[in-house]
Amino acid sequence: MDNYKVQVKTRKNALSLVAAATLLIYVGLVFYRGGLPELPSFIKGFHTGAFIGAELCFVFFIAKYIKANKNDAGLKKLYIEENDERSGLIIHSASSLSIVMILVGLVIASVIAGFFNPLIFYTLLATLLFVLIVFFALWKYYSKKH
Amino acid sequence: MKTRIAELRKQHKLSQEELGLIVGVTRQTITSLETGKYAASLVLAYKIAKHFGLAIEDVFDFSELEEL
Repeated sequence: MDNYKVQVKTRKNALSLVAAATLLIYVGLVFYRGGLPELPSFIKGFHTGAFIGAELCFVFFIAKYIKANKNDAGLKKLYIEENDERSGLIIHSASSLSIVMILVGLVIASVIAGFFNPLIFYTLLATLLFVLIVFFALWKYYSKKH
Repeated sequence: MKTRIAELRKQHKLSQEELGLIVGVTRQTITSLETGKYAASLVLAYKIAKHFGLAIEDVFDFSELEEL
C-alpha cells in the first residue's frame, strides 16, 4: 500500500500542475482573444464551459486523492475502487462494444455525408482513420504485452 | 454461477462491504457474486475460499461448467 500512497500523491501533484497550466493557458487565450479570429458566441461559450468543467474535474480528483491519502482505510477503499475486477470487466465490455458501434456509425455517417457535403465527408473519413489507427496500434501493443 | 458466499458470509457475521475489503473488491462485486450475475476470477475465487478456510470448489458451484 506504500507504493500506492506514493502513486496517489504523484497523481495529485501532476493534476495540480495540469490544473494550474490549464488555468494559465485559458487566461492567456482570453487576454489574447483580440488577436485571434472572431468566433461565434456558441464556441466562446463552449470554451468557457469546457474550461470550467475541466477545472471542476481536476479539483474533484485532487480533493479525492487528498482525502484518500489522509488514512489507510481511505487509501485501501480507493485502491479497491480502482482495481475492482468487476468494474474492470464492465469497462472492458463497454469499450469493446463501443469501438464496434463507433466504427460502424462513422462508416455510415461518412457514406451519407459524401452525398451532401465533401468537407463533412473528409472530416468523418479522417476521424474514422484516426480511430482505426488508434485501435490497431493499441491492439498491437496489447498483443505484445499479454 | 451459484456460490455459497452469502451463506458463508452470514456464518462468519460479515457484511458484503467487510468481505469486499478483505478480498479487495467492492460491495457491488460481492453482491453480483452472491446473485450469480458475475463469475469471479481465479484469483478472487482463491482469496474468498482461502478466507473461509475452504477449497474453491466448496464455495463455487462448477456443475454448470461440467455440463458444457
